[in-house]
This record gives sequence, structure tokens and C-alpha cells, in this order.
Amino acid sequence: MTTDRETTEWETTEWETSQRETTEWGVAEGGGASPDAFPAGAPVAAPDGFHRLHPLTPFLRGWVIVAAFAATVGRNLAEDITARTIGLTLIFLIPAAGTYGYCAWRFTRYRLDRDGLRLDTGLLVRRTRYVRLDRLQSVDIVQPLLPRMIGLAILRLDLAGRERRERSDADGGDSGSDLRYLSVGHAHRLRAELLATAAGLAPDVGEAPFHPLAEVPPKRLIAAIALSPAPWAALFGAAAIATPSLLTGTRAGILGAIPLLGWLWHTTFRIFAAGYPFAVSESPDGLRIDSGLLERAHATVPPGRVQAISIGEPLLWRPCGWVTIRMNVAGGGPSVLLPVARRDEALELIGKLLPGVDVAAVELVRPPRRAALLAPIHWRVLSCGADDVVFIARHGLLRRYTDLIPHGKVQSIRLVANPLARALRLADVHLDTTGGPVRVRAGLRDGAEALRIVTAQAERSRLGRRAAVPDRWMT
Amino acid sequence: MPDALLPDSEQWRVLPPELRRLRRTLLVLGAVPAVALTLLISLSVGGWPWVLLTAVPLLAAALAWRSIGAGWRAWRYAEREDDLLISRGILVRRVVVVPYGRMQLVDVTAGPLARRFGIAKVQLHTAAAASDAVIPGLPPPEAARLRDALTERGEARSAGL
Repeated sequence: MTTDRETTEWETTEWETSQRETTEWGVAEGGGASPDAFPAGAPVAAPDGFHRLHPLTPFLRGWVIVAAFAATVGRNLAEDITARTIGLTLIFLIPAAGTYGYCAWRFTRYRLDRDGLRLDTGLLVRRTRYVRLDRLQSVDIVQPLLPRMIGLAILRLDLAGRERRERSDADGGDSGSDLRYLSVGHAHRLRAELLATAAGLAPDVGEAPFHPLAEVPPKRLIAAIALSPAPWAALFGAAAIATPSLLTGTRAGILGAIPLLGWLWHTTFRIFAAGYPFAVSESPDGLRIDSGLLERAHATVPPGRVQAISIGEPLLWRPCGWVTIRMNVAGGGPSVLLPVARRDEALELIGKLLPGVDVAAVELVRPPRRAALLAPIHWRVLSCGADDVVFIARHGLLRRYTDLIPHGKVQSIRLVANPLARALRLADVHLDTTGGPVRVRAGLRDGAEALRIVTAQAERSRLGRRAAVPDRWMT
Repeated sequence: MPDALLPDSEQWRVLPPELRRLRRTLLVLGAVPAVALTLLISLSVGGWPWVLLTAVPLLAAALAWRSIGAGWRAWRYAEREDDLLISRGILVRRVVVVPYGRMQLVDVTAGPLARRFGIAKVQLHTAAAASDAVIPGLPPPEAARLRDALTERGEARSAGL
């Protein structure tokens, strides 16, 4: 393979440069990040200031071709698979994958300057992307399992509007503003540099100090999973399907239970691995969320980038006083703020994020009595209210959601009245926000009141926008 | 038509009659072959009672004709100091408020048929996919004026996301 020689060459140069780089940077490693066991793969910059991705990238990306081939072509050839065909295929496939990976790596380069990050990609179709730092919505370091094992990470820049076009691939596979892959140490340094530049400071001030706000204790997370209906449904479903065939000794039923077992895995271990360890901390660069047992993710959401927050209270969690907090960050940033937290912890955290907000102190008003005709039971749950900073709406009977949106973050206000609601002189008010799990809606208000909410909210949002944090938050 | 859900203190602007004409023309273009086809089939199937089936597309067309008129009348917009107000819908009533400072882009589109009728569509986009602020038809000069006014005010009042 041609790439072998290239890579070794690269690594030798890299060993030399890594010494220089570390002394030059002199930046302390980021809090939770283990210092790189790997040679600190900060590739030396070309004279024009461009950097390359980590030289191991081709191996991880070329692997995609092998996997895709195995999945599509391999299935068709499944009948006459012999050791010889496999060998022959691999002989052709591995160099092809290697060449692809090498070229993709060779033609990808990036450069950070005062206002943004320039990213050149593409072998046949060249693409240059310029990411404006004042539009940055969040910076994430993501480490899927395999890259994590060899000390690599993806640096992801979330920008508003990205979710519309590029999130179409399921795992964000070819998302245009990802730097994949960098060594962990380099990813952390580059993130610090990016955030400092975006904040309006010199790029070499290093990582901002941070202090922890909240954590998820593993016991509570396990209990919370046990108190959700989905795992039990999966478990009992699997048992119900498998038991008869186990008793009669046929095999079909056991196979039928496999999807449900997959679901069980998804609703238990996957959720646990995503939610433990989970730490939220606060820094001058905004909110930091470090999470994940197998796949690590370190997200940084700069100040003023949280668009809306939702406090969810599932029925079974309520005796324990536990809630889950989700949020909207434009551009597909992190969406879980805390998987499970005590209610007072949650309110305190929200008070930190949106200074001056006390969710419990905001008076929520129910819809008029006649709303019960359209929502016989849950009209009592529906309620809304506002203070100087946020608008709050509550809905949901089994899972009660309290949705908050800061006035300045409202994208548009809609009043919607369907024929049934109109017959009862009722209307819904939607406060639209960017994409994400949270949707803010005040349901079934009196018609005149709904109109008053719309007008008052337009005014509150106008004032709220004035008080917004500047895009470059340290300036 | 008194409507409790329409803020009345605003300077509402209505849509040009050309939009109604365009929509009704399209309706006629669709309805005539539908009625003719039903008539033809019912006659060939056989005689008197079947001909009554023709009433179905006729009635549907008449209903659509009326609702085009009502929908056109209900659709109105107002440019306020800091936001654009759009009020629309007959069955489902909607009032949309889009602050100028929140606009990401303004689209003005006009298809070949719309151009013949002297109509252009103005659409406002914000960072929220849900905000559907559309003015379906305006005379092109007015559409261009609105676009420029909106972008100008958007720039003056622009706020970070």
C-alpha cells in the first residue's frame, strides 16, 4: 500500500514537530480531556497557514468504503463466497479504499483566522467553506468509539441553518463544517483557539476556566431508566413473544424477539451510556457539556446561544421529584441539558443559564373553563405565563413539559385557531424557535387573550432582542 | 365580517385582485375538463339519473370559487414599526408576527403564469422552520418595494441569533 510509507514519514515529522508545538502553545490540557496518549498530532502548518487533518484519518475514512462494499455488493454475492473471492475482493478493495482515504485527506485543509475558519475539501469537486465565527452556535468535540480508541476526535462547528440542508445524513456523516479527524489534544487546543477568537480575544489565551454546575449520579440515572415505561414494554414484549416458542421448542419466536431485545438495549444501556458520565459546567465561553461512556462528546455552547429550554416530568419520576431538561441550540448542537436531575437542581441550573429567571415564581394562567370541551382532562395542565425574561408554557398530562423561551429568542409569533377552537372562541399561540426538541405553544387560550399575548409578546421580544449578548461575547 | 381574532388598529393592506383572478382562472382550467369528463362518462353509462353526477364537480368548483374569494379577502398584511403582521385563513385562522430583526432572508418568486397575471410571491424566512410568513401575491413593484423595505429594516434591527 502506498499510504504506508507516506504515513510513517508523516509520523516522524510529526514527532519532531509535536515537541515544538507543545512548547509553543504552552496551553494546559482541557479539564476532562485526558492528555493525548498519541503523538500530539497537531500537523505543522504550511507556509500559507493551512493545517491538515490527522494522518490516521484515511484509515478511518477508507474503512467506510470497505464497509459499504461489504453491505451492498457482498450481500448479492453471498451465495458463492469462498476464501478466494474474499481474498480477491480485498486485494482490489483495500488499495482503492486506501487511495480514496488518502486523497480525501490530502485535499482537506483548514485555516483559522481572525473572523473565521476556512475549510477546503473535495478531490473532484473542490469546495471551500468559510465558517464565520460570530455566527458560531456551538463547538463540539465528538469521539465515536473507534476513533476514541486510537485517540482521535471530530471537531464540529454548529451553525444556524445547517440542520436544514446537511443534517439529512443520519449521523451527520458528511457535515460540511466537521473537522474529522484530529488528535484529541489538538482538537482541544483548536477548540480553545476557536472559542477565544470567536469571543473576540487573542487566539492564544488558552482554555477558559470552568466550574461544574451539575452532574448526573449513576444510581439516579439507573433508577430513572428503570422508572421509564419503554424498557419494561420491550422486556415484557420480548418475553411474551419468546415464551410460547421456548415452551414448544420452536425457534421462530425467539428470532421474533430479537428486535424487541434490540429496543431494550436501546432504551436501557444506550441511554445509560449517553447519560453517564454527564457533567454540565459553566465558563466564560458559555455552557460546557461533557458526556458519554463509550462515545464521548464535549459540547461548548457560547453565552446567549440557548434558544429554548424544556423541563420534562414523566409521571413515574414525579414522586422522586426528578426532571429531564432539554434545549434547542441552533444548528444541531447538543439537545440534552441534563438527562435526569432533581427539580430544584434543574431550576437552579436554568436560573444560571438565563439570569433572573425563577421558573417557580412565574404565575401560570390556565385556559378558560370551556377549553375542557376540547381537552377534557388536560386542560388543567395547559397554562402559560411570562416574566421579564422568559415566556413559559406548560402542557402534557403523562409527561408534563414546562417550556421556556427567552423573549429575545422568539423567531416569530403565530396565532392559530382551527374551526373547532374558533367555535369556542379559543386559539393557540405558538412562539417559534429554531430546530430542536423544544416547541413552545400556549394552547387553547381565549381568543381575545391570545391576541393580547401576541401583541404583548411582540413588544417583549423587541425589548428582549436589545438586551442580547453580543455575537462576540467577550467584546 | 367582524372577527375577534383580527387586531383592528393596524394599517392592513389587502392583496391585489389579480391574485384572485389567477386562482380562479386556474380553477376554471381544472374544472371545465372535469365537468366535461363526468358529463361524457355519465351519458355513455346511460341516461337520465346518471347525469346528475355532473353536479358533483360543478358544486365542488362553485365551492372552490367562493373559498378562493374568501381566502383572498382574509389574507392581509401590515408593516408595523418592528415587525410584519400577516393575517390569513378562513377555516383555520392564523395571525403571524415576524420581527424584522429575525428575518434570515426574503424570497420573491414569480412563475410564468404568475408573471402573466402581474403577481409575485413574497416569502419571509426566519431561523425557525415553523414560521410560515407568506404573502402569496403582490404586484411586482410592490413586492420589490416590500422586499427592499424588509431587508433594510432587518439590517437596521438585526440581532444575533
